[in-house]
Amino acid sequence: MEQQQQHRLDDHGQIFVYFPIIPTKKSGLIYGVVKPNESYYNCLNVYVVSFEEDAVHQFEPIGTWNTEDNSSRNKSPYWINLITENHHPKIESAVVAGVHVPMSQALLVLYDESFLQSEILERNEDWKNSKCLCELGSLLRLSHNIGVKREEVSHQQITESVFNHSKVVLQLRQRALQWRAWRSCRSELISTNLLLMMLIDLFLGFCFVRMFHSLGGANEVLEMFLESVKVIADNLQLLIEWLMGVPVGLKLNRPLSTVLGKFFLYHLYLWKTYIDIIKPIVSTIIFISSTVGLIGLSFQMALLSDLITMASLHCYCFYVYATRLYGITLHGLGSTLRMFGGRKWNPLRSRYDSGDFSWDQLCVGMFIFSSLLLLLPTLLVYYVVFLALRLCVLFLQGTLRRLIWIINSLPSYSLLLWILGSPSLAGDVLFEVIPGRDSTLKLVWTKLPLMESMRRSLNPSAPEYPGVNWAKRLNEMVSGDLIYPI
Amino acid sequence: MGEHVTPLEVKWEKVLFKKSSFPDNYTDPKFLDEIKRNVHFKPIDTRTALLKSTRISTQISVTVIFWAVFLQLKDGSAIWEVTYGIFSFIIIVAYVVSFRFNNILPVLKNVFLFIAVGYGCTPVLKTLTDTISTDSIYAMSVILMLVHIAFHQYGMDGVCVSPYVSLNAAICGAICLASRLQETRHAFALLTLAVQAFALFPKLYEVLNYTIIAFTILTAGAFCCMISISVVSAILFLLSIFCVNLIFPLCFVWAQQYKNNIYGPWDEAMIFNR
Repeated sequence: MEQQQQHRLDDHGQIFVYFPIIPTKKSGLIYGVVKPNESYYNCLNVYVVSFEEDAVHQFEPIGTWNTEDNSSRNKSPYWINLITENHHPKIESAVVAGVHVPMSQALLVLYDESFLQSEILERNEDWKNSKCLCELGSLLRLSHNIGVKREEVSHQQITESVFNHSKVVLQLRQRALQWRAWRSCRSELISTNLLLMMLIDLFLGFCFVRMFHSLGGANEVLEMFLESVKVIADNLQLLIEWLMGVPVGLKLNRPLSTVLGKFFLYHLYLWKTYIDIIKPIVSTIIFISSTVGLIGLSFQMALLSDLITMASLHCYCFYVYATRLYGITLHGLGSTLRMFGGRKWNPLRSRYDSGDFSWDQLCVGMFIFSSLLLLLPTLLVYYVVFLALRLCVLFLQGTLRRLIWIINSLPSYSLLLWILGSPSLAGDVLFEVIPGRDSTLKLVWTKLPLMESMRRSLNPSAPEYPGVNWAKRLNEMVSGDLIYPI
Repeated sequence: MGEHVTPLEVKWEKVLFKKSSFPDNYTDPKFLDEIKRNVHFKPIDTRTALLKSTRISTQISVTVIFWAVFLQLKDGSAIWEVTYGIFSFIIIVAYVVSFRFNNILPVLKNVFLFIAVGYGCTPVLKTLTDTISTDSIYAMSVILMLVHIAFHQYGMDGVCVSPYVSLNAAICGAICLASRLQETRHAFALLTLAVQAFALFPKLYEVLNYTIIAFTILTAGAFCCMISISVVSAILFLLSIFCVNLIFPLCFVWAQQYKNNIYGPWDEAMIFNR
């Protein structure tokens, strides 16, 4: 039998008695543990966790509840008597090491046991920092034989690979990861979340496929796709011819504009020939991929994203050409502008220094400078047009990607629990005052705001939110660097 | 009758190792004896000032000749060949006179390379400024030529002197003007003239020790060109040469009497590298 340490209470010491708000028994002996309060000097915590003798955990009897049975009183240095008053428990008397504790120095805290079911309470900062509450939690778990604290499942990520460029492959890998996490997860909340997510995905996918068939089936969609590709190519041709003329009243450099326009038109002509050649292959691919769609809505969206990529490949090529030209022009312009002021890049000291130039170098440099400066507006117009087209495509793909992300990481079971107000989602604890009584507090759990609850119950295989660094993107756009798909 | 017995009988000395009865922040009237005025000042006499200001007018004349040739080319008159020929002739004569034979081979190679590349690249020039209005081009060229004259190195260093900026500005101005001409060979001729006038000539001028002969010949030539364009421009040109050569140096020499730089032991220490 463990010897309980004797803790004395000086004149101004306080005792905190933790008692369940809804006791399992109407009366009887109370069993629990007494510990000194580590946060305050000269205070004691009395945790009442059980109403029956438990040989395994050896909680000592420390008082009575609604009875007068003081037989075990002499065995324990602490003895608390509690009675019911106005539907709530109340401390009648308390004895610590043979000394009566006046009622003004005894505080009763009534706790709600149901917060044990919550898995996200342990991650709360206030809970973790409070030693009393942690002790209470661990003692309650001991008495209910719940078991050791659940350990964190490690965060898994998808490995880098060249196949990740296809969104369908990415989504397949994500699904495999989720399946594995579901099988190996021990936390009930997380596994239910994963299962529900996969089921919802399947259900929504099924609905969409029904709608898809009502549109006419695979052949119809194929026809629509190829038709739209042709329409896009024709519109692009009109656009380039418009640029070669006098767009929006801007007077562009005629020879340069003609050269660029003819180059892009030739590329477009090659693209149209290419589309005609691969038409049968594309139809087979679409037919096969439409069966992939049965696996879930996220796969359908991934498929749509991939189709958009394939259909806008020439757009991407034009954008790359225009960006490279513009980037080189800007770079050359900066360099010759520095030459105008007699400065040069010094690689030894990584800074701009005065440079030694001879007169012929200066003449050639100035020729290049004025040419680039006066050709810049034309290149800028082409760059802006193709940049805008590319941004439209990226915007579409970004939207699809974020929708897929929502499907992949939305904890729908947690959402349901949050709406119903279940204690499994208790995120925080509060102390409430009982009206009409002093020295009695209620320890109740509350649920966190929706976003916080969902953030804390994310499954371990959820991908990161695809965030965009707008300042960096704007910088890249202005200085002629390529924007990689985000 | 109060005889003033000054309590401070002791003379104030500028030493720190003696105990003195003066407070630490006492300023003695003897302090200002250590003042020195205009230590590094070398006054310039009128003759030097007038002579040296001819350098600036030479450069102005060269620029004016260049501009005159451009106007003649634009008008389509055949006079430009005369002006161009005379100018090139002067340059060659100056080259011969300066006996720079030892250095001539790399310069010749540069010149031929330049001619070849320039003739090939000039067609690009023609369409560069099609979309810009003539007035804007003229304004830009004038500003660039002014920058060229302002930043030119006239034989001494200063805040505003940068030989690179001046040459670059002149070449940019020449390119702007050349892009306005109709025929390719005219543009090429103007560009070669620009290189001669702004890149080769200043070096020659410096080697020849800024002779007065060059000044007289070039000023006379510029005046003739201006007369062939209009009387007003000739008068303006004469007025500006007069100002730059006579009035401004005389003002400068007259203003030297007001120079009053104060030096003293209170100055910051300057570190020299000898």
